[in-house]
Amino acid sequence: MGNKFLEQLAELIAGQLAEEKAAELSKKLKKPADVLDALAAGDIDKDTAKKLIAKMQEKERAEYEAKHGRSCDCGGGCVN
Amino acid sequence: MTNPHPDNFCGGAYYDWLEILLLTECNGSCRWCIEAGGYHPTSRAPWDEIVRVALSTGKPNVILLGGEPTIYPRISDVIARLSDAGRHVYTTTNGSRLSPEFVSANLSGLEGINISIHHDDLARNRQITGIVLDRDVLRASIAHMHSHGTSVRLNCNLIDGQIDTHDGIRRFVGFAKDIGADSVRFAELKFDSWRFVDAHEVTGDRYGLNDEPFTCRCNTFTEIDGMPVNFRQMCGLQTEERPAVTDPKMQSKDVLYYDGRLYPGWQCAGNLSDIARDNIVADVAAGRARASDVSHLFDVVWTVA
Repeated sequence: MGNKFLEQLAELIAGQLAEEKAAELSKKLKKPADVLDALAAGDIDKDTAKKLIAKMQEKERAEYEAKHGRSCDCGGGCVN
Repeated sequence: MTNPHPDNFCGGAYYDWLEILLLTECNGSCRWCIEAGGYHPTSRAPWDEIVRVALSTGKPNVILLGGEPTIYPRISDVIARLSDAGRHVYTTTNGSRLSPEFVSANLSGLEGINISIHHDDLARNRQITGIVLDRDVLRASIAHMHSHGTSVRLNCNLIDGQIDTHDGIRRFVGFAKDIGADSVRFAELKFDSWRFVDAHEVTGDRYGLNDEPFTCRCNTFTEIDGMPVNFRQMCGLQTEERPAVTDPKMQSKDVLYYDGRLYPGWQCAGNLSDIARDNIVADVAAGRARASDVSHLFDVVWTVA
C-alpha cells in the first residue's frame, strides 16, 4: 500500500489517538485482519475499525476487480 | 460490459425465489461446502420472525437452506406457515433424517425437495459427505413425499474421482430412477478447482452444454435415459476453470439469513456487504466473535481450503 493510503488511514485514526501513535499504528494495519486484531486488542474502537476496513476493502476490491473482474454472489449447485 | 444469459441466476431468472439460510449447523462434512466459510451472524431470530420477513418479501417461491435444514428444530412450523400463506416451499437436504415418519411429521407442506447425494454407491457418498444413507429408506421416503405431493430432485455434484464421466452420470440417473426421484441435477463445483469436473467436457455436445456459462447459459435442462436432468455449470466468476468475465453486469438477489435480516446475495469473502461487515466488526468489538475466525471474510476472493 502506498504512502497516501497510509496517510488516509492515519487520518482516520487520528481523531482517536495521538498523531504519532496513529501514524505508527497505521503502518501496521495492512489488511482487514490487522484491523480486527487491533480492535480486539482495544487499540481502536468499533467505528474506526469499520471505516478502516471499508477503506481497505474499497482499495483491495478495486485492485482485484481490475485484474479479475467481479466475484459472484449467487449460490452453488444446491440452490434452486 | 458483459451481460449474463437471461436464464442464469444472476441474469434475472429465479428472481421470484427467496433463499433462506435457516442455520449453519450440519451433520455432514462436504469438503467443498461454500457455506462453511461464509458469514454467520451471531444472533438468531425466532422462527416466526424469519417467516414474517420471508412473507414480507412477497416472493412466491421459498427455498430453505443451511447447514442442514432438517435439523432446524422448527422446520415443520416454518414449512407449514409459509405453505399456509400460499408460498411454494422447497428445501435442500443431505437426506440423513429422511424416513416416512419424518416426512409426515415435518415436511408434508413441501412443494419440492432436493436431496444431495453425490454418488450412486452410497458407501462412496458416505465417504464424500459423511452421511449414512440407506437405499430402501430413501425409496420409501421418496414414495412418501410423493404421496404428500412433493416432487423430489437428486442433486449430484460432479467431483473428480467420483461422478466424473458420462457413464457415471448415466449410472447415477439409473440410481435416481431406482429410488423413485423425479429429476436430477448435476452441478459443477463452485470455487473448487482441485476437484472440478467440466460437465461439457465430460458429456460432449449431447446436452447443449457450453464453455462460457455466463453468456451462454449456466442452467441447462435436458433428459437422460428418460429422466429429466438439469446441468448447473459454473462461470468464470465461480471457477478459475472457465474464462474470466469482463465487467459483468449481474443482478443481485436478497438472501434471508437466520438473524432475520435480508442481505444482498450470499455473504462470503468476495461478496461481503456493508451490513455484514459492520456486524462482524461489532461482534469482534463485543467479544462475540474472534478476529481470527472471521478475518477471512474480508478477503477479496473466496477460496476453498
